[in-house]
Amino acid sequence: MNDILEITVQLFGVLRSHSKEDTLKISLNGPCSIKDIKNSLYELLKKEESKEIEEIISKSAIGNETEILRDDALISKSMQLAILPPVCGG
Amino acid sequence: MPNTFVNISQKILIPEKAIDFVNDPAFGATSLFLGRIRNQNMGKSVVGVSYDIFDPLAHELLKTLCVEAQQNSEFPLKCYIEHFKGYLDIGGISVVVAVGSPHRYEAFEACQFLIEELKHRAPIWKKEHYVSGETEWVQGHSLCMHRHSQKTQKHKSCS
Repeated sequence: MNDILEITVQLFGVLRSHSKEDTLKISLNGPCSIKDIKNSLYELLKKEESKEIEEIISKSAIGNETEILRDDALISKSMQLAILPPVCGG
Repeated sequence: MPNTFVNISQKILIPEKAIDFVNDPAFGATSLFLGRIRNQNMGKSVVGVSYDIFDPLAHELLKTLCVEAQQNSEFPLKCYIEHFKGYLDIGGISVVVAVGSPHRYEAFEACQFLIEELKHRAPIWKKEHYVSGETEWVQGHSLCMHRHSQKTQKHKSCS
C-alpha cells in the first residue's frame, strides 16, 4: 500500500504572480517523482493563462534548501520543496 | 582566517567590507564588481527593482561558486559575494563581488567567473518597477537547463 505524501512547495519569482499563496500543499501517492510534483503544481496553478504556466513550469527546477533535484528523482517521504523558475540575479 | 564570505542581506551593501575581507599581506590584487540598479531596461523607464531569493539554497550555491573559483586558480584566492534582497531604487547596489589574489589576472578572472555564474545559477529573481506603475519579473536562465548544459552540453529539458 502506498503512503500519501504531503509536499509543501514554496513559490518564487514570477510564480508568485500566479498564486495568492507563497506556498502550495499537494498530496501524492508515494513514492513520487519530481516530474509528478511539477504536474500537480501545473494543475493547481493553471487558470486561463495555462499556456504561460505550462511554459514556466517546464523551465523551472525543483529544489530543497541544499540542492536542485532531477525530474526523475524519487520522493518517498513528506517534505518541503521549492519550485525555482528561471533565475536572474545580479 | 576564512577565505570565503557569502551573504544574503536586506540591508544596504557596503563595498568597503568586501575590500577589507579579501585583503591579505600576500595579495597584490583586489578585483571588485558592483551591480547597480539602472534607470532603463528594454526601452522601459525603471524606477526600482525588487529581489526575491531562496536564501538557504542561494547561500549554498554562492559558497559552491567560491570553491569552484578557488579550485580553478593556481594561486590562492579570497572570495566575497553579497547579494541584496528586497527593493532598491535607481543606483542602489544589488550585488558585491570581490576577489583578492597575489596577481591581477587571477583576480579579474575569478571576479568575472563569480558574477557570471551567479547570474546563471543562483536562485535569485528580480522584478522591475516602471515609471508607468507596472511591474514585470525579468526573464532569466533555467536552472535545469544549466545543470544539463554542464553535464552533457546537449539536453535542454529538466528530464
